[in-house]
Amino acid sequence: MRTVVGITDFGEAELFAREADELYCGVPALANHRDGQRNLKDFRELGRIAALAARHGKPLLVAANEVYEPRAYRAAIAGLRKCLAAGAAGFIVRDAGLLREMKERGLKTELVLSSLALCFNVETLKFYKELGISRVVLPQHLDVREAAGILKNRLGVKTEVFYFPQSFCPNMDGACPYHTLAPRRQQNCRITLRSGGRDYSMRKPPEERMLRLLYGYLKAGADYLKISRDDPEKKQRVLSMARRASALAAGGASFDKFLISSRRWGWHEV
Amino acid sequence: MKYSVAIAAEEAAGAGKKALEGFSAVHFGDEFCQARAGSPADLKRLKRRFPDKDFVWVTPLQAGAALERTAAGIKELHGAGLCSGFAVNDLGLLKRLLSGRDKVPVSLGRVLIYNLQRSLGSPYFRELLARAGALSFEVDSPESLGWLAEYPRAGINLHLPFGYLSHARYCQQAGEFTSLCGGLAVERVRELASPVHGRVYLRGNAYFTDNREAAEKILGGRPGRAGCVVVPLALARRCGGKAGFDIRRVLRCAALT
Repeated sequence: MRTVVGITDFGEAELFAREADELYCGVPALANHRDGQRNLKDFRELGRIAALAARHGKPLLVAANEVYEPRAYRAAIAGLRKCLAAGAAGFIVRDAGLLREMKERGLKTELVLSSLALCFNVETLKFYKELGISRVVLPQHLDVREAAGILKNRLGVKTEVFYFPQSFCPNMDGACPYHTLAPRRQQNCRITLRSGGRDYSMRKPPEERMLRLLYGYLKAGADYLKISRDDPEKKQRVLSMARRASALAAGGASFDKFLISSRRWGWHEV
Repeated sequence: MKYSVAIAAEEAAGAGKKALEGFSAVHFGDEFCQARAGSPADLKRLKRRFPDKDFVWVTPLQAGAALERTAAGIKELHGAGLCSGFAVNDLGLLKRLLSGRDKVPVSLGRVLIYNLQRSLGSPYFRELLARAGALSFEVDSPESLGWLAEYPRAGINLHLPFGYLSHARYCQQAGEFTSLCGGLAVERVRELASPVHGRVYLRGNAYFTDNREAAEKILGGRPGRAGCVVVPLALARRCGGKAGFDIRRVLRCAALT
């Protein structure tokens, strides 16, 4: 299993270019699913990071995983071309209209389908494969048993899963407006609501359930493990845990051993 | 104006003739929860009780093998002429239906519309959706209606009084994925108070807001495109009467739960 780490600046790139198998980032010119603070400053910084990644033999992808106005496709494609010129190896995308436009304009590059595209079955995978994607990030709310067809697909599409302890939205990212609400403290999924005199929170699955899901995906042979751009201060620790978890599952450890080891590493603290 | 009553699988047994007076159609199933969507057999049973109503089978996202089962169910129901439409929230299922020889009447559900958003106006989706036998959309806000500007001839099914906010496939109420829970979260609508957003309504694995103000704008404002208004069974019961269903009572209803 290969690790993919989201980075937010050159300093992080220096930290992870050696350890991760692949890096990804956002740039201000291309709408993506994180707020502006998680983006690089400009194409110049992108170029420096791409050069650094190339020295370590690591690809750098750029996130363009929002839905675009059709009239903005031309500008978006110009932005994508600039990224490629700066050394990016490909993009994380979700907009089928944009993908078709890219195909028609002959923009060929590696395309990773974002989890936001909500690819829950092989038929949806085929839909996007016809538009040029070569890898899919599985939605968080998809159980590993339900993902069997995608994981074993014969379309040649690689699969990627999140390191769930770090990234698991309580609601369905990709069909949820909370993520785009700013500031974050105004999101219902981050505040306490009241119901019948009691507190109510929108919660992600219990820790053991998320670990079981991660274990299942590692055992089932997902190709990439993703660590998002969030939590810069914890990311090194997350990457270390993700690699150990991956090695443990690959080594044939039982789920009980996986659970005990993960707890010992303090996975729940990230 | 046409009225449709939304009935989830677990509510079918409790749907009496009186509650459905004044409605010409039934939206059977659920857009958000696999456990609530029901099967073709469930729909047929309900159709036998209400043969004079038009039926729309409402389906959620299709995880894994669920797509094949749902596609087969749609083929069966469409072939037997039992449904006037199929509400679809899964892109793979939509692709499957639009690729077949049969011109299936398709309605894009709220989850799918929210996922595709403004890309629905792209040449790609305009071409794709032109293949539908008849095209309509499940809508509950002016925002979603705005994404559909390129489809002026499509039917609009306006949902009242709850506008979609968000949902989870890992259902907090059931403590399991909706495909695996067996419908554990079946319950009435629950009201939540948000310090930022006011009232939020929880039903199973989905959250909603009171969308009546927005819906009135769609009904009475310039868009004015809603050909059909869809209301949940509980409100159909409460806002009906001898004279039949009265939408003004829904719009004035003080407590929605």
